[in-house]
Amino acid sequence: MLAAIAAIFLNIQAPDTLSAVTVSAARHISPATEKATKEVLERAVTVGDAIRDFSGVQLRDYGGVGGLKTINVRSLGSAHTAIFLDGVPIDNAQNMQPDLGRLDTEDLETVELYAGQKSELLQSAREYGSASSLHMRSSMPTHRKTVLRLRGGSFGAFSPSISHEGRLARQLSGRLRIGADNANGQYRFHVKDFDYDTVMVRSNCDIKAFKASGGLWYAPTGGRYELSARFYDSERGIPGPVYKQASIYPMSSDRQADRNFSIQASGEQALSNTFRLLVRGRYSRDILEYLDISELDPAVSAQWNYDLQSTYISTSVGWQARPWLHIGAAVDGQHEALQSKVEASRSTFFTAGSAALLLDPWRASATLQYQISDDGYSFLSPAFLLDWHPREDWEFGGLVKRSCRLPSFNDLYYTSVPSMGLKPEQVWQFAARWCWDRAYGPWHFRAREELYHNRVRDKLIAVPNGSLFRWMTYNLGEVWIWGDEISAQASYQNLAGITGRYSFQWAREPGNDYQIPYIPLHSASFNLWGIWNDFRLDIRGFLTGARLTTGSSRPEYRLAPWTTWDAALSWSPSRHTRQQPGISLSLDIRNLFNQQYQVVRQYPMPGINILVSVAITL
Amino acid sequence: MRRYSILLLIMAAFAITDCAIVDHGCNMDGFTGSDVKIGDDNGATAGLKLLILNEGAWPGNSTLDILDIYHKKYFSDIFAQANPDVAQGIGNGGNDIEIAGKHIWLAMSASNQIVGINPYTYKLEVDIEIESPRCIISDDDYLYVSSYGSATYGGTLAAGRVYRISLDDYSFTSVSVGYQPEGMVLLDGKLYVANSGGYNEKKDNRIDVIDVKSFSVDEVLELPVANLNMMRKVHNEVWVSTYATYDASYNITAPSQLVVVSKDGTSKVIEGVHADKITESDGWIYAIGNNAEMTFGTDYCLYKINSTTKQATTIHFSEPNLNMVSNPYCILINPFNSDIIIADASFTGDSKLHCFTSGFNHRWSITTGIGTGHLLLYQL
Repeated sequence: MLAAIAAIFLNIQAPDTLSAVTVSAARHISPATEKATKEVLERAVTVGDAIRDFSGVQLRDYGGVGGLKTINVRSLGSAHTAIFLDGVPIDNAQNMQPDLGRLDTEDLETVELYAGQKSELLQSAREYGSASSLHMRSSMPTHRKTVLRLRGGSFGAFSPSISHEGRLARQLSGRLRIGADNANGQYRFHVKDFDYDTVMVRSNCDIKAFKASGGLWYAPTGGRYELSARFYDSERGIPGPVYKQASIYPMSSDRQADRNFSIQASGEQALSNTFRLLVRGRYSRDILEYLDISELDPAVSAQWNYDLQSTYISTSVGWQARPWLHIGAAVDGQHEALQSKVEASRSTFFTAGSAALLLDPWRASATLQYQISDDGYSFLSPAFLLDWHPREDWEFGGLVKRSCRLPSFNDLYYTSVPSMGLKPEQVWQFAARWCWDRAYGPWHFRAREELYHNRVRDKLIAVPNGSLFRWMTYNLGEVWIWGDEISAQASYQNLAGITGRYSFQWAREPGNDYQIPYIPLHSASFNLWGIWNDFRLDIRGFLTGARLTTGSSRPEYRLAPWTTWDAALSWSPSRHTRQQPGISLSLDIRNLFNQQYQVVRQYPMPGINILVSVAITL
Repeated sequence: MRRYSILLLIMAAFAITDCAIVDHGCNMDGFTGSDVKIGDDNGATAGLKLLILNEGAWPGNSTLDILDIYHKKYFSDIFAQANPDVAQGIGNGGNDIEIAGKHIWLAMSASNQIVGINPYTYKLEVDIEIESPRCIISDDDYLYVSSYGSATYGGTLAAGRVYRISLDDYSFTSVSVGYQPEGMVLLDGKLYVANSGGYNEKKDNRIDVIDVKSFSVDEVLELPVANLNMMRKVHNEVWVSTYATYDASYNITAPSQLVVVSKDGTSKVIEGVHADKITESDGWIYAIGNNAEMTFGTDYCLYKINSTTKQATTIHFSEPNLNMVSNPYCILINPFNSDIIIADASFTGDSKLHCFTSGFNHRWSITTGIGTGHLLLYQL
C-alpha cells in the first residue's frame, strides 16, 4: 500500500502488489516503456517537455516557444507513433503527428509511451496498429478546485490560465479551463563553425495563442463516460531555418495562424462480470493559414490555407472468457477530408482482435489488426507479445510485430508532382526486455533493459525530381535499426531519487556505412530530484551524440553532439495535502550552461532561459 | 558551361606560364584534398580545374568543390577551407557560376548575394547584395545577373530584374524584365533574357531583348512555349530550354522543351527533345531530360542537336554503358577532349560526377557533394 502511494509521488512505475485476481485484469502483458506521472506533468509545461527524457524518444525540436515539436520513437520516424488523448487518436492524415508543443500537461494524469504495443483488454482497433504509441490520459476531477496559474520568463513569455473543476453531482464532475500564451520568442544564439562565432537574434518568432477546454466525467457503477471539447487559436511568426542572408533583408517574415476545434466522447460500461463495452468518437477541425511574405518586399505574399476535418468512431468489446483467456475485438472508422489548393480525403476502416492467455507467471497475447482505406491501401498488422514474471521483482518480455503507416496527405499531394502508386511504409519490430523492480525498506530500485531490432521497408522519402521545384515522394529503401535502451532508478521514500537512461541506436540503410539522418548513435538522460520540507529540486541532464543531417557522411553534414542541463526549484506548502487551498511557485532554469546547439539543422535552440510559474489554488 | 572570353584565354595563357615557373601544384597547396581516379586522358594541361557548385540539401548551405583535373585531386568545400572565418560559408541556394574580371562569381539565390572569389586563393573578395540572383553572364566590362526580384512562390505578381554590375567598381544598376527571369545570352550587342514565370500559375513565354549600350529593354519576343529556362547561343541563333509545366492539380501540361530563336523573333521547337538542362560546345547543343515525363515515367536521355541542321539524336541513360547515371542534373562538355561530364545529383546524400567520351563510353565517376548542380571548367 505504501509502495503504491510512493509510486504516485515518484517518477517510476508502480510495482504490482495487488491480489492475483485484480492483477490479471489490470496488468498489461506489455507494460508502458515509459510513463510520466502527475508529478512530472505538473512540472512540465507541454507534453513535449514531459517526454523529452523518455527512453527511445528523439524529440525533434525546431526551437523556441512556438517551434514545432514531434517525437521519433526508436528511429522509425514520427509518423509511426500514434498519439492518443483519452484513448482517441489525435493525429491527422496531413501531417501525421500533431505538434506536441501545443499540448498542455496541466490536466493530464499520465502520459505513457508504448514502444511496441499497448495490450489492454479493452482498447480500440487503432490502438493495435502503430509501431509505437503515446497515450495521454486526462485526470478526472475529484473535488472542487479553482486554479489560477501564471507563467512567464524568457522570450518575453507570459501565459495566464484559469481552471475550475469540481463535482456537479454524485457521479458527475466537470472542468473548464481557459488560458493564453503570449511570447515574443526572441533569443540570441551563436552561429559557429570553422573559425567564426557570430551572435544573431532569432526574430519573427512571436506567438499569441488562446486555448479553452472543458470536460465532463460521469462514473456510474461499472462504467466511465467522458466528454471533452477543446479550442485552440494561435498566430505566430515562422522564423524558418538560419542561413546566410544579405544584411539588408530579414531572415523570414512568414506568419502562421492556426485554429483548431475538437470534441470527443468515450464511454465504457461493464455489461456483466466478464463483458465490457467501449465506444469512442471524435470530431475535429483544423484550419491552418500560412502567409509566405517575401523578405525582399513585404507587399508581395502568397497565402496557403488548409482546412482539415476528421471524424472518428470506435466500438470495442472485451470478454474475460475464462480467468486465463481474455478476448478482445474492436472496429474503428476514420474519415479525413482536406480542403486546400488540393482536395484530398481518406476513409479508413480498422478492425482488430486479440486473444490473451494468462497462465501465471506467463502471459501471452496474439493480436491482429486489419486496416483498409478508400484510396486503395490495406494492411494486416499481426503482433505477438510475451511476458514472464517468474518472481515478484523480475520480469521478462518480448514482442514481434508488423505495422505500417500510410502515406500522409503531405506525402501524396504536397510535393509539386503528385506521387503515384505509393505503398505504405512497413515495419517489423522485434524486442526483448528484462526488468528488475524491488523495494528494500525505504529504498526502491528499478532497472530495465530492452534490446530491439526494427526493419523499415518501403520508406517514404521526398526527393527532388530533376529540379528543386519538382519533388516526388518515393518508397525508397530500407532501414535496419538495432537498439539497446537501459534505464536505472533509485529512490529513497518520497524524498529523493535518481534516474539514468542510456540509449544506443544503430540505424542504417543496408549497404551504407553511416547512420540515417538525425539518429545519434548514443544518447542519454539523467534525472536527480530531492524534496526537503516544502521545496523540491529537480535536475535534468540530456546528452545527444553526433548526428548526420542527410545521407552523406561528409563533415559539413554532421551535427555536433550536445549536452544540456536543466534545474527546477519549486515551493509548494500544501504539497502533501492537495485538497487545501494554497500557492505554489517554481523557478525553472533551462540549459543551465548556455549550450549552443541544434536539434534540427539550421534551427538553433535557445541558450540559457528561465521560466517562473505561480499557481494559486482555491 | 560558360563560354570563354578572349580575356580569359589570354589570362589563362599567362597564368599557365606563371604556374609552370613556380610549380604545377601552385595554388592548391595548403588545402586538403583527396586523390581521385580519373585517368589521364582529360586533355589536361597544368592548372585545369573543374568548379563544382553543390546546391546543398534544403535549407542547407551550398558548397563549392574543386576537381583539380591535372593533379587528380578533389577538394571538398574549398570556400570554407580558404575562408574559415567567413560566417556561414558561401550561402544558400547556389544557382550559377561564372568567371569574369578578376574573380569567380557565384549567384547565391536564397542568400540574396553575388559572391566574388579569388580564382587563385579562393578567398572571398567581393560580396554584392542583390535580391534573388539566378544566372550570371558577363562581357568585358560587366556582369549581368538575372534576378527573381521580390517574387515569392504562388504569391502576388512581381516582375524580375536584370542587374548590370561593373567589373571595375562593382556598382550596379538594373532594369525590369518579365517574371522570374532565368538564363541569358549576349549576341551582337543585345542581351537576351529568358523569363520563366515559374512562381505564377500562368508561366511566362517572353524573351526580353536588352540593348547592351543603353541597358534598356528594346523589344520583347514571344515564344510558342512558356516557362523558359536556360539559354545558349550558337552562330546567330539563341537556343532556349523550358521547365516542364504543371497545373494546379499537379498534372503535367507541358514537357521541358528546346526552342531555337532567331534574332527576328521566329522560333522553332525541336520536337522530341526534353531539354531540362542544356549546354553548348563546338556547334552542338547538348540537352538532358526525362523522355517519359508526360506519362510520369522515368527515361533520362541525353540529346545531341546539330545547331545547323537542327537534327537531334537521343541517347538513353538506361543503355548499359550509361546506366550508372540516375538523376542527371547538369551537363558540361570538356572543350579539350569533347568529353561529356554529367552531374548525377542527389538531394538526400552525396551526388556523383560521371565522365563519358564523345562516343558515350564511360571513363570515370567520382563522388561529390549534395545537389551537385553547376559546373565550370577553368584553367589558370
